Amino acid sequence: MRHLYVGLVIMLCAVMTAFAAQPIRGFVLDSTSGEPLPVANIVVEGHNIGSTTNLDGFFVLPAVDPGTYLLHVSYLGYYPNSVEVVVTDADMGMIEIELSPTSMKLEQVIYTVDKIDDEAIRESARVSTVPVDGTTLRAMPSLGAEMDVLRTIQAIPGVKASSEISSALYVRGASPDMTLILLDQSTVYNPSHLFGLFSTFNADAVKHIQLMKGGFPAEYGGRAGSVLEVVTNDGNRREYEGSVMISLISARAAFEGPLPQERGSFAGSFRRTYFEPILEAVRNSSEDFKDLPDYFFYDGNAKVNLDLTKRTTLTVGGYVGHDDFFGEFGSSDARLSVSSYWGNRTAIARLRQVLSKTSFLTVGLAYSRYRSGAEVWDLDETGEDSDNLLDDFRNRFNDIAVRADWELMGWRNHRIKTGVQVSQLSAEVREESEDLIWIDIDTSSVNVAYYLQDQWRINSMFEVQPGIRAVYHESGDYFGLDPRLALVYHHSPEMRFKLAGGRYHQFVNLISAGDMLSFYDIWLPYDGTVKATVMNQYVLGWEYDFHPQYEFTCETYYNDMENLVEFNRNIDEADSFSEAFLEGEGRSYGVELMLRKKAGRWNGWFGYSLSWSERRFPNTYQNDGDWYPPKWDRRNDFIGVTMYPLSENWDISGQWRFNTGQGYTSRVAQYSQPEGPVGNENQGDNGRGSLFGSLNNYRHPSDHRLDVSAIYNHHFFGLPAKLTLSVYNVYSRRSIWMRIEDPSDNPISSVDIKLLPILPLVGYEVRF
Amino acid sequence: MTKFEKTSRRSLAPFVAALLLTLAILFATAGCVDNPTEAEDFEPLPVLYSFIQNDAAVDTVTLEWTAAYNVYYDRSLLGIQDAEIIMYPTHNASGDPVDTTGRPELVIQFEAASGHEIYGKYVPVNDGYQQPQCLWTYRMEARKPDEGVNLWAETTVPDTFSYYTTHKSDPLSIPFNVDGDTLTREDDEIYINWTESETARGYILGIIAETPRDELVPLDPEWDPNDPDDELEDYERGRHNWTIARYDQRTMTIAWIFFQWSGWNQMYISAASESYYEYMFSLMRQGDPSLKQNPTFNVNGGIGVFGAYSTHEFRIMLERVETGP
Repeated sequence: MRHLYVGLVIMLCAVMTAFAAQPIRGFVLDSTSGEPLPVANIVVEGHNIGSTTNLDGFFVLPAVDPGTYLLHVSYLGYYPNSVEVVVTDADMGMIEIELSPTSMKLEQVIYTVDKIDDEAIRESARVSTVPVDGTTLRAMPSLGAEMDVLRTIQAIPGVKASSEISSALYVRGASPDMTLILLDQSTVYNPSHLFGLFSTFNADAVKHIQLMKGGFPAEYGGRAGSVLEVVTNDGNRREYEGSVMISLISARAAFEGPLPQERGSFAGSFRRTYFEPILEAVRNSSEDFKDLPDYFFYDGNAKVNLDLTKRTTLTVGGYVGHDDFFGEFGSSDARLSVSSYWGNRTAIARLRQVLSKTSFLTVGLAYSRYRSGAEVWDLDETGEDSDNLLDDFRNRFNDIAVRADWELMGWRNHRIKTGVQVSQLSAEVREESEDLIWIDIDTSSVNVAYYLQDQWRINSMFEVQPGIRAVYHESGDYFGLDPRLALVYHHSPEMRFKLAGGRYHQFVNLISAGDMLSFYDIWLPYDGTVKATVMNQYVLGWEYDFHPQYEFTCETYYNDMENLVEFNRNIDEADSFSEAFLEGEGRSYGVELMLRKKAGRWNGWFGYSLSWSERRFPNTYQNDGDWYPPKWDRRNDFIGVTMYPLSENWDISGQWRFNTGQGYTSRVAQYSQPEGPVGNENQGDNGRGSLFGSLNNYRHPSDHRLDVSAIYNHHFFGLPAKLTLSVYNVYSRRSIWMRIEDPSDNPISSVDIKLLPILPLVGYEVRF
Repeated sequence: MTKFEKTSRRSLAPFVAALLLTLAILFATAGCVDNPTEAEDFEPLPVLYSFIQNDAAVDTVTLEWTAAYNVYYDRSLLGIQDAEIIMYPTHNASGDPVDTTGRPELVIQFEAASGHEIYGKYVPVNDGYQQPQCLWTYRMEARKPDEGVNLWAETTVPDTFSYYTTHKSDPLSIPFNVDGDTLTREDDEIYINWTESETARGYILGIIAETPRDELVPLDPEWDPNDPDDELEDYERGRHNWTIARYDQRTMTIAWIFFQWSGWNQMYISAASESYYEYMFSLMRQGDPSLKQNPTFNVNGGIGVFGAYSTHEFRIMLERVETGP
């Protein structure tokens, strides 16, 4: 630790004495709303200088001698812009560069970057990072005409879903809990609604998404696999605007605008399903449907940005998401009620300050709460809950974090960032019936992380991004050190080679009963009774921009996982982490190809991944301790996504995907299965059991599916409106979700539970 | 302000060709997936089941083979006949080893059950004059060397315990005995209390309908025997319903939904050995169809369960409440 601090002090001293010329600094903004744009590229023509904006849209270019410079600025989903900047001896202050979104339907122009000094075309040393802009997100085909962040992410090679109805992310062979999901820098623990069918992010509120599949820098931590960063709209700083959208399953509304006296902006959005009247009607239509349960979900975002001074902005925001399920089952004189809920709440307060010409400070407080629960009651003869509580399950997970980040940009081709985060992680898990407490875990731990990273452009050919993250976890008195390194070699203006590696610690884990049982998701911080999960990642990449409009990326990776944990299903009580989990190890490796067209009339990408994933839990019942492929291990995934503006009013988009079938565990034998001394004669043909082979020893047939979407842009009583027509699974190829045995047949037959057939859906949105 | 220039497209052909070639190589070398034959290649395993009870003659031992997963299951073809099966104590109630050398009275020999040979059923010779004792540990061995059968397992018999039932609505009331009572679902639920059984890993509570399977009448008041939609399928005619309670649980409310059939029902509460409880716990876990996990067995050399229990039983008559007009 001491060496880290010494290094930091040396760098700070160097900064104080280094400047003679003037840096170019400022913000990149959306021309329509004035919102800052994160991760925009800025390149100085004719010089080996470039940078990207941070998440607040701020950038600093290295100091340059007085003169006139031409800046080229680009950002995904926006038309590039070029700005002439005159640098003098005096401090030129901050500049603002505006970009116009491509959704504005400006004349399509094919831009070239040939004239730009080649070495600076791509500034970032980030490896395995895929940005997705709001425009792409809103144009992608969607289920239920509902724009969906996580389903868009699932279209990126290297990301898999456990099934087509699941929005969980399985990135490069890691389980979903290994992906850090950040919503405005606050951690989201359960990102799905409706048993995994929809993600919790209201796409209306999303400005920018980037997925870091691996090799991510030291500023990110807490999860071992990958990072999904979601940045929501700050709100329009120039005028009030809003939208209302209805689809077959939900309605949503969004509103944003400037604060009085041009002191900032606000944005808010809300979405709620309205299944209840439909379900009620179905229930009343026939006695056969009387047990149909009730369900709804809602989510909402709100954010206020208050400019305290020209250099200081305070952001206060929050998110709330909630799912609710209720049903009654059984005959009229012996009924059960089942109610469950799950959801996230986050809140942030964040102060960002432009400290000096080249440095930027953010200080934030973030709160994230995930809670879930389920109750099963025995109903009395009046239909009310009796005093017989058959099962009561509750999970509360709280994450309160304070963090400070200091960023120094534009100093001698360095971009240094350092920060500290202190988190209080606590969890309560309790499952009980009226007669017994089955699980009772109450644990809390402080987690402290410090990081230091640099992004150094050594010369026109090499960029290096070293970093270190030191973590201390109170429970178990654990100290971990995560070195990270990324290296970029610019072979030519069009071609780059990238290398990244690092060590990644994880201190929270998820016990999941599956996507369909989200309310049984249990998040637990490490309590010191087992070792923390660690992943060592190695990534090698090749990028080739063989044409001004195209990007080609090829990456290969190897992930080595230590101290993996898996829920121990053989326990009937637990009050610690070690009792609840099995410990093991894992590895994953593969190759990913992505060809992306980012400009021109049609946009989209083709992606392919070839991957392997394995894990084992020695000396446990889990596959007898041998290596096995997890359910999400799939050899081949191919996806093609395209978006095309058909005319002034019509936009169409489509995606086709092909993937190797999901693994399943096949039975290998059958045998008589007595129910204890009572035997099995009472069960007739049911008195047989299946003996299963090694885990996921077989695979379902390969899946493929086509989704298309058409958007009709028009005006509704003078207001801009959008009609979305979406067809999910166009040729109705129903993939197999699970295979279950029917023991009432002899020989035992298999029944394949299939997923959704063709599903045409419609949505309507009016903006004002 | 824009300084970019329009450009002509470069030829994509070489790159596309290289990309397609790469894809082809990846597909060809990696293949989609291997085609496993684990199920087809599976060798049959010997299966042994035996559950012993304190102070009671040892019941049937079942010894049979597993069957292929995709064939008609005919138990008469699967019994392992002419095996040598013995059971003897290894430790007494104090935990001291028991030496059975020269004490043949401690060793129970088994022979084929008359008329059930083909099913692999065995019963103690001379009805097993040695009855299992509480807190003693027993070992069962089954051998048939010419067919590669060599199984063994051990279990400890739980201690005795007592139980009583009370009214659910007033659990502190004087305990009453429901044995032989006639009840309906409109009555108060049965609330069972029991004392600890030493060495029990848990408790099994169950109900067995005494009515023959093809004559079962559901308690469900909406069930209409004349409605074809209400006709019971074979798989719906399970007469045994059970649940488990953990080692430290002492009470349980038996919800009426737990009872399915009208007529005489036998209820039992058993203190279960570790092997018996964990086997039943794993069967209950298998209620999740997505969880393809084998039951917890304790038989070495094959699969199956050698378990022990001490138990209480009582009977109740359940009457169906007809719905009004």
